[in-house]
Amino acid sequence: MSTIEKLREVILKMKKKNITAANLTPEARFLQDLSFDSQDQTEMLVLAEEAFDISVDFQEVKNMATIAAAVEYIDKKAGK
Amino acid sequence: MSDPVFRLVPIDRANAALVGDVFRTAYGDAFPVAYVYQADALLAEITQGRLAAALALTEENRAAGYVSMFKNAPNHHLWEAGNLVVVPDYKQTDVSSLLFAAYFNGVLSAGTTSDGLMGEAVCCHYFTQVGNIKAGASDVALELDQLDGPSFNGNRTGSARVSCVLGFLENSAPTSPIYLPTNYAPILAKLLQPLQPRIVLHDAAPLPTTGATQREERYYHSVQTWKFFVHSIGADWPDFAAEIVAEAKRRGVVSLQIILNMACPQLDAAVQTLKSNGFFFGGLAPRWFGSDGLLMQQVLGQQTEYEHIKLYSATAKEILAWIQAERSAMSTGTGT
Repeated sequence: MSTIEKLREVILKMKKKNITAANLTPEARFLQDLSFDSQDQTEMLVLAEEAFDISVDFQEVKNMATIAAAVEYIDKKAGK
Repeated sequence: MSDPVFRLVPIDRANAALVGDVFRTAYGDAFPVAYVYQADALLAEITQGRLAAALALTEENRAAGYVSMFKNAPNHHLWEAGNLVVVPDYKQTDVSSLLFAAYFNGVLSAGTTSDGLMGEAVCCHYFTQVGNIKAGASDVALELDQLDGPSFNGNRTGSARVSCVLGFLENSAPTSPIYLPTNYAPILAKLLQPLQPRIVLHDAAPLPTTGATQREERYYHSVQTWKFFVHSIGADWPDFAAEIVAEAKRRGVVSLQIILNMACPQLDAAVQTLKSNGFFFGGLAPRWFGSDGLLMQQVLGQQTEYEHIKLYSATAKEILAWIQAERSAMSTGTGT
């Protein structure tokens, strides 16, 4: 399973209103398109730590804007 | 559009009234701490050294959030972090991180000395728990079903109650020796491990035959939570334990908590009394009395919805596992 597919699973697990797999394109912006706030972003990253077995530096990802940026960060952390 | 820029300012006479406005945007007039709506009372808390607080303001001087630490424990050198509020219009900005950072970057604690900083992080989301851990705090206790779910603004889980994990950052070395109750020695040793070294005594004493239990209490009617801080154990201890459970049921209390002073030689016997009255482990309340406290608790008239409790740290998960095992053993009569 690719990183983006796995990340989609992580985000869908959050059961956030109005988010479907179709919304979760690489270009989707957390803030504007997915209506994420700081609690949502934190939850996604906590679940990602578990799913990808990585340790997230929460300062580093403070301004992470899109799904593509998240995928890139996860791949970097996972040493891909 | 560029992100808004915020600055943190201490509370003073000129801006104190804005604090009430901040809380009204999130809680209406229902927030259980009355002084946040009363500028004079708020300023008095600050002047008397019981509160340190700041507002986040926009470039246009609009209030976007509030952060504070206050003194609630018997130990007046212990700060408690809490009442961080973000105005809903600014939820999608970085203001929450700015407010949260104030606990650890010295903005709030400037000019104060303390034994440590205690923080209650709600378990209906991860934000505060992650912040605590990343700032170097250790999780030490879990207060089950402490808050009323529907009335709690940040509760997205839909659970009837919200649990809280207690995080602690120690700032000074403890001087008071403590006792470890036999039942909980393994888990307490783990919780103490990241803190500064303690002197642990082992010559436990039986319950006393004279004297009265010295305690204070906090009753939070709006959230049906009742807390006791027990400084010392007296001959009335078994009656006291039974009576508060009966009274809690009469009042409709859901979360009944007792923090026992671990400097009491009768700690082990006192814990056994509490267990026989339905109390189970909660965790460690470091430096609560100057010496450490042991949190015992029970949940009344409510089934804990464990599946809704979100925990970040491995330690917090371990505390929950311990609690579940103990509660399960108590319900089947296999507990010690």
